[in-house]
Formats: sequence, C-alpha cells, structure tokens
Amino acid sequence: HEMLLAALGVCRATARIALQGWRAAPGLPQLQFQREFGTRKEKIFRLAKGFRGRSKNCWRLARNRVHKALQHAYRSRRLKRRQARTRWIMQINAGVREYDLNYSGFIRGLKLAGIELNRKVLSQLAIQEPYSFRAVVWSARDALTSPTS
Amino acid sequence: SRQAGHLQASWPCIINPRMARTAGMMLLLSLPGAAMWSLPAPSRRTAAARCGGVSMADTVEAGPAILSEWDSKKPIHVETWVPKSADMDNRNKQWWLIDAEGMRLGRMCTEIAKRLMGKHKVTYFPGSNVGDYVVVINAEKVLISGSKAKAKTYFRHGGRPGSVTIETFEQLQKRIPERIVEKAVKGMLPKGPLGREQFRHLKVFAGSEHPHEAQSPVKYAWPEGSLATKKPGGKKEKSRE
Repeated sequence: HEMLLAALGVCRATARIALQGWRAAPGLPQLQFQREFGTRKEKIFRLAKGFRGRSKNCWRLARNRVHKALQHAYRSRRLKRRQARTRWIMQINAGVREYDLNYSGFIRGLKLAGIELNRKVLSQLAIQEPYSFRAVVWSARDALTSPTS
Repeated sequence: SRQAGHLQASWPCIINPRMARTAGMMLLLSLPGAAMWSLPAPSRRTAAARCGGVSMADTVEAGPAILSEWDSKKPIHVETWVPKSADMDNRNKQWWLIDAEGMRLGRMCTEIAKRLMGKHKVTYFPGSNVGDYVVVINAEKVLISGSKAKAKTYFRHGGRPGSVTIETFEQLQKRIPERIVEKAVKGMLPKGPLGREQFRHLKVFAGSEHPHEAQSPVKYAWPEGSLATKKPGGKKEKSRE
C-alpha cells in the first residue's frame, strides 16, 4: 500500500478515494481485484430495488425501468450542478437585497472590486458568516459608487 | 461610523482565486461545528440588526494560518448548508401583517408571494417549506389602476354546460373581497403540492380585524419608493407633465 503510493507519487487523499472502489475479499492480498458483479439479470435486478410493483421483480419491466433510471441519473448528474448554482444565486440575491442592492449589481461590483469569490462561497458566507458577507457587500458597493477605471 | 469599521483597509484584495477559495474555506472552517448548520427562522433578523455594533476586526483570520491549513493535503470536506426540519417547522415561522388599504393589488401580491415562498431569506432552498405566514387585512380596500375595476373579469365554471359565471373586479369586491387577493397571490405561487401548502399560509381578511394576535404578526414595512404603495393613476399625471 505504502509502496504503491510512493511509486505513483500520488497524494494520500486521492489514493484513498481511488482504492475504495476495490473489493478486497478476505484472505486475498489487498490489491487483488475480484469481480463480483453477477450475471446480466442479477445486475439489472440489483438496480431495480425499490421500484414500484412488478417493475422490481419482472424481467421485462425491470429492464426498461432500470434503463430509464440510468438515463435519468446521467442527466441529473449534470442538472445537479446547474441547479446548485441557481440555488446559490437565489440565496445571494436574497442576502444582498437586505443591503438595498440586487444580485446583478452586486456581481458587477464584485468584478469591479476584483473579488473572485464564487457563488457557492458567497451563498455560504451569506448564510453562515453574515459579518464576512457584509464586508464583501460593502466592497462591492464601494466599487460601484467609485469605480476604478 | 461605517468607514471606521470597514474591512476594506485590512481585507487584502482577493485577486488570486486560490486565496479566494482559501479565505472562504477558512471562514467556513472557523465554525464551531454542527451548532451553526441549522438556523431556526425567527432567529434570523435582518443583517443590519445582527451585525449592529460589532467591529469587523473580530472576524478576520490571520494571513499565514490560512495558507498552512490549505497546504496540509488533508481532504477538507465542507458541506453547503441545507435546511433541517427545524427550519421548515411551521411553529418556527415568522408571521407578517400586511395592510392592503390603498395598496396596488398586483405589486403588493408579489411581495406577499415572495414571503410565502421564502425567497426573501438567505436560507431559501428550492422544494423546501422555508416561507413565512402572511396575514392580509383590509383586503376590501385594495386598489387597482386604470379601468380594471370595470374591465378585469373573474371567470368560473360550474362543471355543467352553460354554467359559466363572469364577474368584474367591482362585483367580486362587493361579494367576497378576500378572494381577489387570494386569487392574485395563488397565481404567483408555484403550482404543485408545495405551492398549495404555501398558499395555505396566507390568511386574508376583508376588514381590519384578524384572529391571529396570538402569533404576533410583524407589520411589514414597505421599502421607500415601493411601487405597491404608490397611488394608482400616477402614470397619467406624469405624462401630462
């Protein structure tokens, strides 16, 4: 384990995450890779757990529902990132309106002030660190009223 | 004064994205743990009230300490805030009182809908019930501009052929004045189970009395120059000038 890390020159954290996917069966060396995925049908039925009615037990239904579920999962992994950003923007908008500013003006002020905090951090500051958020809002407001060329 | 307490003098201009992430992460890490993650709704007063009288210097972290934490190569796992059950509990919700007398209908209702959805809060989270309760009084005295009092119609159908009823704003105001505000707000709320639940948090009353004194609703202070408080008919006067 240690030698592998040294050989790859990889950060400990990333190596730990990479190795988690490996299944080490008892009695086998840790780095042995053992395939326990099962037959084609077993794989589909494993993914169909929790489906409604016959869709979890009957092959044709389960196969179709699982394929659709996988498509939804693919799409949602991308949607998740978009929706999170929308949420942060709404939260920042609400936080900034307490200071007689709106989201668009605030972002413009941030750009003028050269502050590159991203929307995730800004929204979390607004929720959990109100004083720090207030400082950022003031910096943005200052940049708006007296812009540097 | 604001200038004295302003952080800009001591806050370094964050040009470097790495430093920006660092600063944000360090501030998040400085939390005392799980205690801060969920904030019951009534404890979050306006930012001005919360921050009043505290010097900004108290919250600034030392420069070198930030860099060493970030360079430690430990995986730093910080979770973004999500609402807990305490934040969505109806008992913790804020109650607002809005006097509809002399208000412009639609412009007032957008503010009402915003409050019902919780979009005025930093802790807004889509799909969760973080909105507030709103009590509207004097709904019979709500105003509408232009000739809409005679021209705006409300339509309903009884389900049988020919059982269509169309009544004007004036007629409905005489019959059931609360319904005007309710219909307006309902059209502004999201449609779905959550939207219907948010609508149930709206309490409209025609007169100036309301039975919710026990919830001590806070009278909503309309911002200066708000279009809701502006007297209808101002547009025509302006064009004459």
